Amino acid sequence: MTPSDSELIARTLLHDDRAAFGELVQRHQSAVRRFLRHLTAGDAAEADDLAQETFLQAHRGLARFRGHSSFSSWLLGIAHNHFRNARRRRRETAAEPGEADAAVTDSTRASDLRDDLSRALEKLEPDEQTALHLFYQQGLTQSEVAAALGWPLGTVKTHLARGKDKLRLLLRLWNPQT
Amino acid sequence: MEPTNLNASSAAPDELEQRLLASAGAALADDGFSRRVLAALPARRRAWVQGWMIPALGAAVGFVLALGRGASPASLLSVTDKIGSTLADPTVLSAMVITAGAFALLQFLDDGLVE
Repeated sequence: MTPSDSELIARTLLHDDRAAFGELVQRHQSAVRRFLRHLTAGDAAEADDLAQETFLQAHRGLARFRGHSSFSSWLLGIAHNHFRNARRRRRETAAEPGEADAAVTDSTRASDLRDDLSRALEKLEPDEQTALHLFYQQGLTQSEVAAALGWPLGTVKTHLARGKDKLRLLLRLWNPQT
Repeated sequence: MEPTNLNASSAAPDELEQRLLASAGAALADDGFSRRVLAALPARRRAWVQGWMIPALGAAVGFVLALGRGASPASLLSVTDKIGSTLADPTVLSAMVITAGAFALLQFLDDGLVE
């Protein structure tokens, strides 16, 4: 029988069981790495470095996991904090690249429907992208997204709704026939 | 910007939501990531090193040093008699028990057994 996350956490805490923690990493690495790849705009190396830091911090702070949210959303929250800290450090040492051009160009109009969605996602505010990613692509509930990001539930709902409204608008502009 | 409809997601997924769900992509293969994380964990505390060994080792070193400085074994052992008579005092014994209990509780909390 496959042990639950709670059982693996207990074994890690009580016996410093590295195999149990390894099982937790194997279970959740995909969600954490995909989330960080999303946040780093596909930079797999940076995302994996941040994911490693995420799991190391989770190991250090495992005793503080209270089980109020799922272990997965707790990890995603740590990952989000690591990403924001890394971006803050980067901003302190170098100028951030400018905002992507929000204007709809002719080339984007010509893109096919599948690319349109990812291009449209890139036009959203980072918080809207993050909320949509966790809700639709990671399968978290709205409450879990709120717990992971430390946002009020209403903020999550607002970001999801606004993000979808913007996506619909952009996709309609780019593909008026659809 | 169009007005935000907070209730939009309560119905069945529309075309946009279906496309968002379909864009999730496959799970990432581990490809050695877990091994990399485990290798980066801090060194495991050696199981044979127990907390009580440190003061015991200190006492043993002190005993040997005292012998080296010319103290007789009989005079050193007489100290244990004095310690024994001191511990027989209920006040001292109570203080020792409370201290030991506090250390045990700290260890318990440090192990993460209590949130």
